[in-house]
Amino acid sequence: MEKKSNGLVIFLIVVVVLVSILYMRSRSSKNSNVMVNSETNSNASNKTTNETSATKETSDTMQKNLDTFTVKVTENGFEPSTVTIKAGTKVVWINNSGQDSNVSSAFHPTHLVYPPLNLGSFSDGDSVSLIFDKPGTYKYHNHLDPSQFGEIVVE
Amino acid sequence: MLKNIIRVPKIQLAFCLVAIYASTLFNKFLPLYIFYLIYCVGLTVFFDLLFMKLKKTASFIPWAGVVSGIIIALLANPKLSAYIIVLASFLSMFSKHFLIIHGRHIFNPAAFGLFFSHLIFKENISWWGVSFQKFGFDLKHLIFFVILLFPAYVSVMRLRRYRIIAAFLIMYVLLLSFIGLSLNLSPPFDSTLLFFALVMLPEPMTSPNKRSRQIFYAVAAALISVFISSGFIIQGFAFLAYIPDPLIFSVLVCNFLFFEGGELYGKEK
Repeated sequence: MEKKSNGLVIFLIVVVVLVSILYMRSRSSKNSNVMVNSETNSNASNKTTNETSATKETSDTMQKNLDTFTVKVTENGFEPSTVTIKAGTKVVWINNSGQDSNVSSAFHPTHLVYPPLNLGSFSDGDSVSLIFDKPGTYKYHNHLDPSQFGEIVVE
Repeated sequence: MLKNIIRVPKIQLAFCLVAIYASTLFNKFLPLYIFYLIYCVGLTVFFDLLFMKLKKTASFIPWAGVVSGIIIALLANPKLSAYIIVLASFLSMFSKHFLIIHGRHIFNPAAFGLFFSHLIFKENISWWGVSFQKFGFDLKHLIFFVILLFPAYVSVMRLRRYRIIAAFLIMYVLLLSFIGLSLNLSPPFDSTLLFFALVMLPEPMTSPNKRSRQIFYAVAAALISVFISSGFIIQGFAFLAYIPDPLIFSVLVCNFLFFEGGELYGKEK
């Protein structure tokens, strides 16, 4: 009887710790989301600047007019893994991994969170795409290797 | 002697899991993956032996630690930081030795370790070693898929947990079909789902023995995992988005809800 109650006490402690962690994370997520967005925006801007050797002003103009964003699928996963775009932007995934790849919505393996993002499998050299109309954060992964994942942040 | 050893279901399961891991090496070989398996199994065996020592129980070959280690290696992303794997191994063996009632552990050890280690470090459980086995009629895919089914010999033939496996898969298909409003028969052939149904869910120490409870246990696991996976729940309860994996979460909840280690069910063991 004593052992049973000890076990229950330990379990209750674990539950309390779990709920506390979840609660704290849900509270802090709103603040951290803002930071992540601004960080990825600046990354995207830098990338454009490097590729075109343009001035910062030109880069900003391109960012505003951008309506297609390319994500490369390599052996190491999605590059870049986090993308911040404006609503209405088309995201294209190009498979350069040397084998079949896949783009599927979270969670693995049900893919129910955002079904339009279930773009399925595509061979090396092929591409798939989707236009994101509504603001939000869309998480996805490679169903054939779920250690590869990414997210699209639509503003 | 050897004949008796290889008749033990736990040891048979360990061999089945090694076969699955070997198939992942054939699919995509990296030397890192061999070291990763040794690392995971070494850690779980170490913590298993350590806790046996602390509890002053008789030391024996820790096959449960070996099985948990291989499961962690198959499910946790090899690119994760090494300390997350240390934590997963520690927690899995901690739950096996200390979260017990009447000598029976409450939670599936590997699931417990994976869930809380990934939760703490905000990672998703990847299932990387049991995701590439697509069902197909070409030889390569067929061989990989058949190897994935090896654990069925232990869970269905030896442990007789087929009710759990069947009830879970049927309920899962029905729920997904209900959400999609058309019969969706692909889930039973999904490698991740099959591995979960054949290995994680029917673990003998943490799943019910009574037939009717086995059905409820499996149905509850399907319900919980599908509803957490769907966007409907997440919109209402944002914190659920931080759950590292709906399947692993569902098995832990059901381990607790349907635990039979107490006095009420002691006679049915």
